[in-house]
Amino acid sequence: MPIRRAWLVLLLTLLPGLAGAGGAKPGKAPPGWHPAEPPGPDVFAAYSYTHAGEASLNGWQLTGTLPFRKGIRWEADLSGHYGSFAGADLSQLTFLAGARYVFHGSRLRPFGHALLGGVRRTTSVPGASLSSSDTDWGGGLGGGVGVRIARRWAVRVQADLLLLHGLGQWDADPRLSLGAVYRFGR
Amino acid sequence: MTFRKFVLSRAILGVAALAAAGCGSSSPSGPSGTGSVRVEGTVLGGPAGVGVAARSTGTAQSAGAASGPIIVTVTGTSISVTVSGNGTFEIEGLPEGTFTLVFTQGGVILGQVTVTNVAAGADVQVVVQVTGGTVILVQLKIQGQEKPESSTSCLISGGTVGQGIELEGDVATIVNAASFKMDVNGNRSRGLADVSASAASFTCVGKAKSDDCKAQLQVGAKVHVSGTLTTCTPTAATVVATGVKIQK
Repeated sequence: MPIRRAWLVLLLTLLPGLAGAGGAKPGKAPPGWHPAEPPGPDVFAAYSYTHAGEASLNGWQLTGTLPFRKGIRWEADLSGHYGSFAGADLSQLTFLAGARYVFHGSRLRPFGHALLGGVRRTTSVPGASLSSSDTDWGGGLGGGVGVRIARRWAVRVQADLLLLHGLGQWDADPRLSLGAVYRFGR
Repeated sequence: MTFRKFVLSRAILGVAALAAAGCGSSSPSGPSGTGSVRVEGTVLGGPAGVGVAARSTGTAQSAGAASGPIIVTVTGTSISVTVSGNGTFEIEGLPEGTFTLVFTQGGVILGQVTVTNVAAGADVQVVVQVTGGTVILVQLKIQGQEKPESSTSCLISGGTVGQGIELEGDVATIVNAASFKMDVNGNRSRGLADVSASAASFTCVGKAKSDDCKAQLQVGAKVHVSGTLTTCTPTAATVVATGVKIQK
């Protein structure tokens, strides 16, 4: 399947950078980084909402980032959204990777990012033995802001425009997420 | 304002603009009509070549290989919407009564679904499967519509188009692999009801697995059908089944 091969190539391309970023200068904070805050990788777990096509879907989002250089971080983004529309059950799993630029502040941490990957959508009809699934290209543009509430913890709100392909066309679906960030590192 | 603050403010504005643009991008395109009926629909894809048209409401038309987005138009109006990437679409402003949704892709007609007896202000939910160049009606529900006082307009006593229905009876005729005619028990029906079972799950009483259960659907078999009544006139009725239980 072409999209799986493309994913593998993307992963192999990013891996050396990720490895280098994780172990290059442990504990050294980038310029502008708050001294109390660990500059290492972080994970974000959130409630997430998206308006996909005509349907309102609710779900979750998991994001991990690794520092690359200065304010730039590598990012992996996984989200699942679920709901129903017109009597059919819809689910949408997006798997994206890309780069994030973080603007350093003392307590607020705004960022913007660009992501590329894919989406797997499943539609089923309750009570009928009928469902359809397809995997297609996707991407995302957006950003958000994190507010540090403890040394390792922050609250983050994020807004994205997911660009997802399916049924012969590209959709631009908004996604909003609210959740917690945990930062690793010394 | 420093360059850094300028970039930061532009980034935040850009994100807000992107989210706002996305909120509006999935709205249906095309002009609306003047009626008060709203249609919500979902289109499912499927493997090629296994489609069987639903009788009476789903009119199958052969189509070659087509690409591009799926367009839904309403015959007799200028209403046209594009099906989104996840298969959902919404049409507002349809006239009450009868209307036909025509599904096209790349200029090729895939099929059409006709919905009848829709009251003003009703919400119609329709699920179709596009497969093998045809459109199969999987489910049709009409909400916000009062039951008619007299049931003489419908072949099946107590039946309301767009609502769920449970029928018991015998298989009278096998039309094809996915549809049959049914003789409904008692005095509930004045004639044979058409059952479209292309999307139905089959179960057999007394059998653990339902893999080969569909093969037991033969003329004379006693069946319990659950699904949606999609059309009903004094002389004909069609049920799109979601479940068929073969009892004997």
